Amino acid sequence: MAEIVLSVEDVSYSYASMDEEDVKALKNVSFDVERGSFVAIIGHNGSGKSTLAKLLNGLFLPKEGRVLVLGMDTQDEDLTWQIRQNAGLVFQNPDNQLVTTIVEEDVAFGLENLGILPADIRVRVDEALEAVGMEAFAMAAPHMLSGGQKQRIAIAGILAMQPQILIFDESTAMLDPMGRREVLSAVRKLQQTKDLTVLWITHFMDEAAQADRVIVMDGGRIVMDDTPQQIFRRADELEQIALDVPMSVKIAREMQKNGVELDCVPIGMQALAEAVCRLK
Amino acid sequence: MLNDITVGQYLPGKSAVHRIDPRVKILLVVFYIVAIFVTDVFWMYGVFAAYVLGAALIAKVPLRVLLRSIKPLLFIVVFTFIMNLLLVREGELLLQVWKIRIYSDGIIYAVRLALRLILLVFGTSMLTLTTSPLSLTDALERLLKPLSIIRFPAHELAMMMTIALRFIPTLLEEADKIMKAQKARGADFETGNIFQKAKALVPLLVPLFVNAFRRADELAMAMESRCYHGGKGRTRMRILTLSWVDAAAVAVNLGLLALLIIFG
Repeated sequence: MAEIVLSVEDVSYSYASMDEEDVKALKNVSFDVERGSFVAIIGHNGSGKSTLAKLLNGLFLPKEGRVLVLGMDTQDEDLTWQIRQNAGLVFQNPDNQLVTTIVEEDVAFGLENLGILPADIRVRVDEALEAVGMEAFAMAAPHMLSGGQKQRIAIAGILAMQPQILIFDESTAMLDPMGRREVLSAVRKLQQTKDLTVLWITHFMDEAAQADRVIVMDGGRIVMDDTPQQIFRRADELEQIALDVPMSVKIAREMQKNGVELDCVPIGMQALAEAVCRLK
Repeated sequence: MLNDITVGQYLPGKSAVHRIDPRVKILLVVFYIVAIFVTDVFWMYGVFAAYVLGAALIAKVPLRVLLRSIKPLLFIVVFTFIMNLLLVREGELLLQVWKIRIYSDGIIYAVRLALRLILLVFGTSMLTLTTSPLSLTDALERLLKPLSIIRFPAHELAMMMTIALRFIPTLLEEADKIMKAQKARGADFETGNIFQKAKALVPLLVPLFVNAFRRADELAMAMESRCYHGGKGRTRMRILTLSWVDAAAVAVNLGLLALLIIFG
């Protein structure tokens, strides 16, 4: 079995509320993530997935239970910066996570905070920009870039810190379809070439379908945790918690209703096409 | 309508003036300002004017752009000129029309102050025209750093300026978007007197402010998750090094200083 890089142990979290009792955002959540895996976390609004993201690098601290990043407890204040360097978090709105007026300065921001030597920062910034295919925009101003490009810069800024885990908190939600594809394919490439562990929080089922493993959240709990094939087989259950299935699964279900039985749950259009070709 | 606003007035270039270390440039501009207010000798203003125009020539800053920088201050220049002309009651009486008396010293004071103000604007404009806002804030942070021993927040100040520069275009874009949305629903920003116009801006400013606070919150989160913890132990990617350009600029200014000391 592969090494566990991230483990969430029986974590609960609640937001303080002024009038009534505290709002429970997470209830006894537990899961482990193996090195090099691509895990998607899905759930509708208010299911607790964004809260979970902020717990994973110590922005929020669990009220109960604990979060271990490479064995480091997020409660330990001495380890905070080490944890955040190793578990990079990319947010939803690309505009609100870029800090400076020039792209390469922004990519350097995290490294400057870590106190890396100027010459090393230069090298790592150039590498990170190249890794996301944005080296041509090193001197551009962020507000001149498209949403997808801005998000790739945000990824480069995290990547430059050389983390082992990348957490994406709905990082494609505000992008157009082009930008979404652009960002997801950049991340997939990074995950495979750099042996990174990726947690991909999303509400796009087609994105979740590309993961190795899907965790489904509802009402602050984990309700399913399995491979995409197994998860999307349970389309009826997903529907009950207001979640959809990928387009390919939807088509397969419609075919089934009309009496055409495929031999698998097709994840992605390619798989659907292959399954259709296998029909007699 | 709001999209064409650019932050600052930086004209990118690669000239010697552009390449002067921003720290040196700021200090030279400070020296220049002090110098034009110290000297009383008229031909020295000519020397400083030649110095600024020479720098503009080297930096390939069009004269038109430099002259335009006076526009916002034109009123103050004219106002102080007239006040000096009318209120100074020293020297010889040159002209008297009804109760208005113009004295020789009045003319001298008026012209001198007008020249000083114009030269002041030229000098500071040359700084902002040839230095990017980012370099300016960077240089300010480095120049003010020694003051942090008396708890002067040099880093915080520079970080605030950087973030402001970063978000001005974003907020303008947003203001434009909200304005269009309001207009589509029948809001009227253009007609009426000044009070009605100001009142019409309220539905624009409220969502803008609410969004700005939300942005600030998210930005703070993003900065924290990128390990930002203030200026302590922070390094910078860009290293500022002094070169022959800086030496040359300083040499020219030493020349000016010598003139200043000899002729006042």
